[in-house]
Amino acid sequence: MLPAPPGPFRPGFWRSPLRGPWLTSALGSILLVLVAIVATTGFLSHAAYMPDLGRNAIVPKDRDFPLIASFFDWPTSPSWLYGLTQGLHTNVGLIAIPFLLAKLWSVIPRLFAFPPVKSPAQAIERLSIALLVSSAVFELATGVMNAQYWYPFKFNFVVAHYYGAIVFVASLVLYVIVKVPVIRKAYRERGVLKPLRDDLAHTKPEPLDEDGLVTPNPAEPTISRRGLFAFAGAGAGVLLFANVGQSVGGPLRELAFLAPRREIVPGDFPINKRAAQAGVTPAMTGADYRLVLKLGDDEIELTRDELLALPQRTATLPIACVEGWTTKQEWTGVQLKLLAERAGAPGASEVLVESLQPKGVLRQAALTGGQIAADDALLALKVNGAHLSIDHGFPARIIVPALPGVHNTKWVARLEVLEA
Amino acid sequence: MIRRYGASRWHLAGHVAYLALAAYVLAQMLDRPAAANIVAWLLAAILLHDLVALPLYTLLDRLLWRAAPRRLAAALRTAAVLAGFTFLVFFPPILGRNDRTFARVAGHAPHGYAARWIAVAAAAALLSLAAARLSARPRGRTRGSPRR
Repeated sequence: MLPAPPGPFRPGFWRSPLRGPWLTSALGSILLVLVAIVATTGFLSHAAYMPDLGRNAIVPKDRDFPLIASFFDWPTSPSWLYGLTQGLHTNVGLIAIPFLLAKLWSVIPRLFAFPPVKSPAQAIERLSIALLVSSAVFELATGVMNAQYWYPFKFNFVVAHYYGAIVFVASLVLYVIVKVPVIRKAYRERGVLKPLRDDLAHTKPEPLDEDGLVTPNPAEPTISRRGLFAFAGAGAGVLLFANVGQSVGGPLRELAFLAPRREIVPGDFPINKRAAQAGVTPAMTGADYRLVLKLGDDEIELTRDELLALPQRTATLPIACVEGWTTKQEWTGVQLKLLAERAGAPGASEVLVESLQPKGVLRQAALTGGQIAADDALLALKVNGAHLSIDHGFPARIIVPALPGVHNTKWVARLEVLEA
Repeated sequence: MIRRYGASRWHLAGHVAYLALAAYVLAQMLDRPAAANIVAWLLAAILLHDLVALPLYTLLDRLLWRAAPRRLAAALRTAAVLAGFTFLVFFPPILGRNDRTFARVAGHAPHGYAARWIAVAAAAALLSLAAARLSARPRGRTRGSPRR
């Protein structure tokens, strides 16, 4: 057999006495819980967009996985549901980053195992692990960049993040199944928490393992195992503290010292699409504005004054963005179910909302029957007692409890009943 | 055949099923505009971490422990880890990389991110250095007593 080339391929090159099956199992166990939360809430968000309806699908419908997409109607109660799931998705995703880096650090000697491949089984396993690592880093990196409004890549974020997540989850499931015996052995032999009791002076290498995680050439430890967990935990804590305020809102918002949505123009609340950017001009929203209610070939037109003359309802509802920030405001407007009734379809089961915005995937969104029927689902005309500003969707915008932020269409031009 | 393969038949079946699924999903992902860019980012994700970032911070850590006394090195490492994680995640606003996009969608420019990050990094450094000094104290208290 060929001798290993010098450097990282030699068994004694990686010298940390902390590495071993127990450390990797413990870091992996924490990471597994975090990733389970992030993946579940991520796929829930995909379902919350109701991709089966109208043109809601961003991932092409014929290329989606129907079981993930929409086997249930996204609920409208509690109103903070989408804020919670996306708050968990983005903030737990941040917490996972230090633990992922620590986990990858713990297994680095495996990357340089020599010979690289001993059997077909190992070759196929290494290929699946390469996809696991690649998709894990890809998912966290693209998610973070999207939440930071930084787009150094050329692909569609939503589609790539979604497919990448399926590769990641599938790789992880297989990896965990393959590694269960190693994890069980490590916990059985070392105890689940026992190695955390060792202080620096008592931090000794685990017994040599057949995977080569434990170094045969240990250096003096510079940190204990519990110190390493404290490092990852402190990193996770700082990231959470830096960001979570934009998800919770209120007084916590300003404490979120690095969150993109910590700042608000005084007296205002956050937006993600301005009128000028969307191509909506004051001329389109002026005296000639009419809301069109459409059912089949029948159309009804309503001026804004006529909308204001209809029974009004006020509801305090959050807008929760897929990026993980929320803002709760008091909205006043006409119930969507009343407008469906006006259109001639009380109990409408699918309604397409179209914006004055001339272009863009999100110039329209289809709503479910449940979203139309909810008492607090409104075509809002006012917010916090004042007429909407053009950037907040004047003349009229949708606000539906628990609906993903961008589906609360602004500058509503038309409500079309697709299914009565 | 299984003997040549090197693991159980379940191992083989599981991996074949997995690779079929992964190939299908990747094919969907790449049958779109900017496919080459997706491949580049997937490759960069693993290469930049495994062959650049990890060797780099390992090397920096080894240099730090060689150059500085233990307590100082430990304190500096703690500060560097906290500053490093926050920079890794939030460097777009810290370096102003997202200014234009953010201002376009939100209507106002982000500001103060670099200053706040530097303040937090400095606070982490001061706190960990102070903690290192405090933990060094008990030895000082026994100065008057005879050496063991």
